Amino acid sequence: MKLHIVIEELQFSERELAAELSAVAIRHWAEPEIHHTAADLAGWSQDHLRELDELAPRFGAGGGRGRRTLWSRLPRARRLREAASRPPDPGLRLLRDLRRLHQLAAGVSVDWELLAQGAQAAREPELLELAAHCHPGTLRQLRWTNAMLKALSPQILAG
Amino acid sequence: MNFRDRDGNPAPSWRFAESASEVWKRCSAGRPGDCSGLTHRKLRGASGIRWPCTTAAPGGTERSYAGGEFWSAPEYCESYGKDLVTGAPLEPTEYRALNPSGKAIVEAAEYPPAHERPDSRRPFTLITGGDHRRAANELTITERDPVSEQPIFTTAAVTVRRCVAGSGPAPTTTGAAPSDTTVPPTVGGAPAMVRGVVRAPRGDAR
Repeated sequence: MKLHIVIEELQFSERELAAELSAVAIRHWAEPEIHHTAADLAGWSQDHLRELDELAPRFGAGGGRGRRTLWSRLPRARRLREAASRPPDPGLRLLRDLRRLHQLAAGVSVDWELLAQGAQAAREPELLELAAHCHPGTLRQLRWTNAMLKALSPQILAG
Repeated sequence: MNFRDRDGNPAPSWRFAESASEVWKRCSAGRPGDCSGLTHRKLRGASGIRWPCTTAAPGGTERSYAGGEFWSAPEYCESYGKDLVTGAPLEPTEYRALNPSGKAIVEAAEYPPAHERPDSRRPFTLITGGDHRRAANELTITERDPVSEQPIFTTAAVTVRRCVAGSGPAPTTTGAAPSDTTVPPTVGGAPAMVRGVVRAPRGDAR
């Protein structure tokens, strides 16, 4: 059984997403739509994490702290990062943050999918139920970042 | 901005209310809010013309969803709806997957308390339209949920401070001062008198 690897991966990625959503909520406090929604969505990831932490010890998962087990690295927005910082461009910064959130949420979504598949094959109904309960929330987070990118980018990029 | 259409004429092409309403008639033709049978004169006349108002129904239509048929077909509807918590719109494919044609869609969501609630520092609740980025000085309902027809509001906790004492007439609720200051002042009898001072409710900070 290798389910503990996916559980740790999920604990890691949900924690990372929760932290980044909270950071974005603070960074963009002047944009009420971003500020409030990002803070709400950070709460969803924290809820997922709490439920994962409850089940994790039974599968020998360590908590997903420290280093990642599966080697992964997000494609970095090098050009976007440069352009957003010198001189500071709030629009590009917001795009960069949303882009990163989208990538993180996509990673979490993949991990829930893996957990669901693994749990089904290993006949672990509780894990399967957890995935069925949490994954839709991740997909909504993903749709939100995508929708914000879609709505904000035309003006920022063409302006 | 000096926008031009393909023929080099000013765009948009209307200048006055009547020509704007002509353009709107053409825009709305064939859509749920079809106003092609409406004239500017009809609009200025007796109030309460219920759309759609077409050449087939020049006096307006009494009931919108006759025969229990909702305008939810994916090719015809005005919106695919949005996530009630995040506000993210549904994608066309997601909407189609609901097989919505002719049906009403009832969405359930948990109750999230308002993000900004009045406190001792910001004792008032400001209600504006659904768009966070609009100027916050209007109470006009600017957006409606196309499914339930309920107005969409955004609320914020605010405080009010007088910056300078004005000399002209007091602004109205819409922020517009009367164009003519010679209008006679409002007169009311004893029941219209306001006594005392209206205060903001005190917060519970002690």
